[in-house]
Amino acid sequence: VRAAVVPLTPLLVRSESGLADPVADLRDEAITAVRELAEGVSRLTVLCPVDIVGAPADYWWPSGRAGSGALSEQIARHLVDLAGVEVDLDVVLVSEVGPVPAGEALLVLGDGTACRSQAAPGFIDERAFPFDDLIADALEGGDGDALARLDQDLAAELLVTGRHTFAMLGAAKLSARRPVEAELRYRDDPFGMTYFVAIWS
Amino acid sequence: MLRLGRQSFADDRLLVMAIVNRTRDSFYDQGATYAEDAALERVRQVVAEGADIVDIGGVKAGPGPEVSAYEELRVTAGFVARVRSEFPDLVISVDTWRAAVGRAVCQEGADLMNDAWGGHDPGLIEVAAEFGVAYCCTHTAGATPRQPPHRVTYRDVVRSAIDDTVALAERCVAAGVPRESVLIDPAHDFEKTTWHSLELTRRLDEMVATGWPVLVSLSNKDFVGETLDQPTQGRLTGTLAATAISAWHGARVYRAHQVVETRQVLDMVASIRGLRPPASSTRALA
Repeated sequence: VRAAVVPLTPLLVRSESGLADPVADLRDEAITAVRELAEGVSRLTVLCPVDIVGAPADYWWPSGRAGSGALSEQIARHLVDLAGVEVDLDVVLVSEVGPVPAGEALLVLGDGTACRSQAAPGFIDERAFPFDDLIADALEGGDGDALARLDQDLAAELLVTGRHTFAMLGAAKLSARRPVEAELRYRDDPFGMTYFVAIWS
Repeated sequence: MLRLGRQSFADDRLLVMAIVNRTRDSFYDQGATYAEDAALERVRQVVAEGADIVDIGGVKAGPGPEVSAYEELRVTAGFVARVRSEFPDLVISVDTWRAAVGRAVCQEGADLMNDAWGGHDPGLIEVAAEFGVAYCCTHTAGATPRQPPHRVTYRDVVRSAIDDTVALAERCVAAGVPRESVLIDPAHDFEKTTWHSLELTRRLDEMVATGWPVLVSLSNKDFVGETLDQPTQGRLTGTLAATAISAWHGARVYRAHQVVETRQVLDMVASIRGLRPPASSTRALA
């Protein structure tokens, strides 16, 4: 399975954070990952979390920037634009773990836990730290089994927006029955919420 | 006429509501008036500085250690009684979302239920009606008390604030709260990004146009800090700028940490608008 994992924070849109740009490195990694994923393919299958906390199905930009629809889909389209790649997008809106659609390249939207600091969206929950470690290890090790078996209830409590889409990526890996070359390109929690960028090829 | 419990105010009066926290961890004062005597001293100070209302709170708005209803009652009810006995005519507001706390403080002489969480506990409205006290309807878009906002979105934040607060205000009146005792508050920062709070300030005249008296709570908040890149203690100038704009748009009540500065801004804006004569005007008039 060939895939890229990127977050869906609105801050990936440069103008949303005002004059400062606290996620410049994250954006660069996400753009690079999308560009690599799109190499040699004409379509991307995009797994977009919706209808869960942190992944609104309709998102109007607070800054007044034009656009509406699922936050995750808007972020995906924005990253594809920034990557400057010419691909068609087959967008799959994901509100629960479902069958993995066919497609040679998966763009997987999702964040880790949101409970890692006093200012985090979900405040502090000590369980967030090992949970993010587990996701990071799975992304870094190409471990489809670990992602497919994510504890969905705990992930929901920790506000993991990628809980469904990561599990679907894991299932796609298991059904492909081939090893992947996996790289975790970015992992940090600048606002108490973990962002990952990973590439599987 | 705006009636807040035992006091009535003419429609052109702009009122300062001084914040008095009986909390260990509120973002601005960090527990400075958690002790009852310190809080009472703060009341004496803000009254001397010209506050029209004191707003007593027993629970920090943001996330943090849980404060039970019992603990909240313990720090507010007896304190309200003490303030009431020392200041028989002062308007006492209590910042709470819990009906049980509301009932206890009304029994001790509170005049206003400042429900910072937008009707989360519907029983609080019933308490206000039963005691004939005032009620402030805040816009929190259905947020759970003390949970921070996360990727919140509005098609039109001002429309949402107006629709929700006016609906809550009508619920208050239907429940028996006197119509002249109901305020609405767009609730800056509550379930909002900085962009949203700026837009609410910019378009506050639209809320004022509903006819309901508008309360604004701007004081040293994160939207000021983010806009000017200032830590908590560096936000007074930005707060006063937002205060001036809100006063220009016609807000009536200003919840504030700094009473003297807020009062001066309100007086200045009122004079610019032609609603208040200067304190003294002799320049070039001799």
